[in-house]
Amino acid sequence: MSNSNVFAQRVLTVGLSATALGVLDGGGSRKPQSVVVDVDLPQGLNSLDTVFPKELPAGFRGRFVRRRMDWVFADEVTRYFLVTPPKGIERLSDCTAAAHMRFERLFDEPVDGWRVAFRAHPHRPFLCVALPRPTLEQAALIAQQHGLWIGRMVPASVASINRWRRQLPHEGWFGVLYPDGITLSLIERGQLVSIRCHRISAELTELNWLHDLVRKEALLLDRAPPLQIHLCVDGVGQRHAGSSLSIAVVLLDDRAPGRSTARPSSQLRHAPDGSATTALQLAMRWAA
Amino acid sequence: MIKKMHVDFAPPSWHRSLAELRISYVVCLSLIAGLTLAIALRAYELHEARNALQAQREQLRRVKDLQKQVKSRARPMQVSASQASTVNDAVRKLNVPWEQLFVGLEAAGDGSIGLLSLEADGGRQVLRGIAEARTPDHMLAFIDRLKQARPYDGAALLQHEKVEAHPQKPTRFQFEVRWVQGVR
Repeated sequence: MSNSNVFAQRVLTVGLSATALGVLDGGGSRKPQSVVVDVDLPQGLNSLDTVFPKELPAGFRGRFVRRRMDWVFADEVTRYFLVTPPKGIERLSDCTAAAHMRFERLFDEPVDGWRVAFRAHPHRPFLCVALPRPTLEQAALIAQQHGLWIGRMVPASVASINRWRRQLPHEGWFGVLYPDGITLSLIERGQLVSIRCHRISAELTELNWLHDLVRKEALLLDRAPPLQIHLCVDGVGQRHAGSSLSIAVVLLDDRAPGRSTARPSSQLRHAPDGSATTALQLAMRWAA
Repeated sequence: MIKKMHVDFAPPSWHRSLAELRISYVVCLSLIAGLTLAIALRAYELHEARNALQAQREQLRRVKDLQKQVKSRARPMQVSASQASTVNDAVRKLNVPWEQLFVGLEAAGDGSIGLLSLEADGGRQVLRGIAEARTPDHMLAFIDRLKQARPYDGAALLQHEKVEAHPQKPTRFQFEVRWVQGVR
């Protein structure tokens, strides 16, 4: 949350993935951030409305009333896709119809169960983001039941891009690294033209996995192999020193000295064995 | 720097609107509000001044209307020449300084002169009189004393005759004296 907001206050940030739920108390001027809830969702997103109130510490229930609640959705529950507006488009409803048709063609399921958000452009391809409608409704219901009001409901990568956009180049690749996955985005002319999530398996960590992954993604998009990538890691795993890479990595690390400043690195340290919950906590911190 | 991605699934609420309110917006809004307030106050002052001016103008208009009404009612009095002459004669008669004239006559007279009548002409400042004297010498001496008495400025004997029917045969004469201007 920006400091220039007039009515800045402590924010309760909820991170949600397909298998885990985390709640981060945003702290305040004298109190640091703290994780209030950190649990797995064995039955997936459907158990959200039962797990959240059960896992919430009793001492917090009264203190959250009338506070702001932000929701950050992991990229694994979010669907990103680009829509090229058809020629002769005149109304916003045309863009909406095009986005819905693109969604159904790409994911082969009806769009009714999803909410699609986008900022339409009549002449350029625009990015669409879709989240499951029942999950959003459950999130709104939870906020209402606990007397909270919702400030933001954003996907993790969107939050990260908005967070680091001042450090990102006008043209280039941007990655958001989680302990068990990475989201790669391609930026051209200041616009996001592609965004895709990848799970990182154990074998990917062996040699030049990032270089291979980005190169493959560039080939898919018919772009030249990239020489540099901006990577948001926020200190993800410091246990494993990877081998030297053939791609320059500019780390965007929130825990690095001099916050919000990019620093180049020729090595990437990454451990793929982090839990989904840890990934959520990172995403929440990036969004906070 | 890439543009901010405006993707948010949060339902709209007034809490959100307040939370997204930035200091720069508040400053701008405050400036606009202050400017608007100043303009409104100035407009109110101008409005009040205009009302006051209109009230004064209305008052002036009423005064002018009253003046016109008074002028239209006060028509000039039509006085004929004869009426004016009569009025002037009456005024002149009223303005005759009888007291001063009698003082002059008493100063000039003595026991041998008896006044029978007096007639003043205010316009010409002339006093005519008829009197009787025991002898013509007394008559002449009286005329001489009148010439020197104040407030007279010249005396003339107009005619005289002896009254034969009277046992003492006095001289009856008519005289005229002019009094000086400014006597009150």
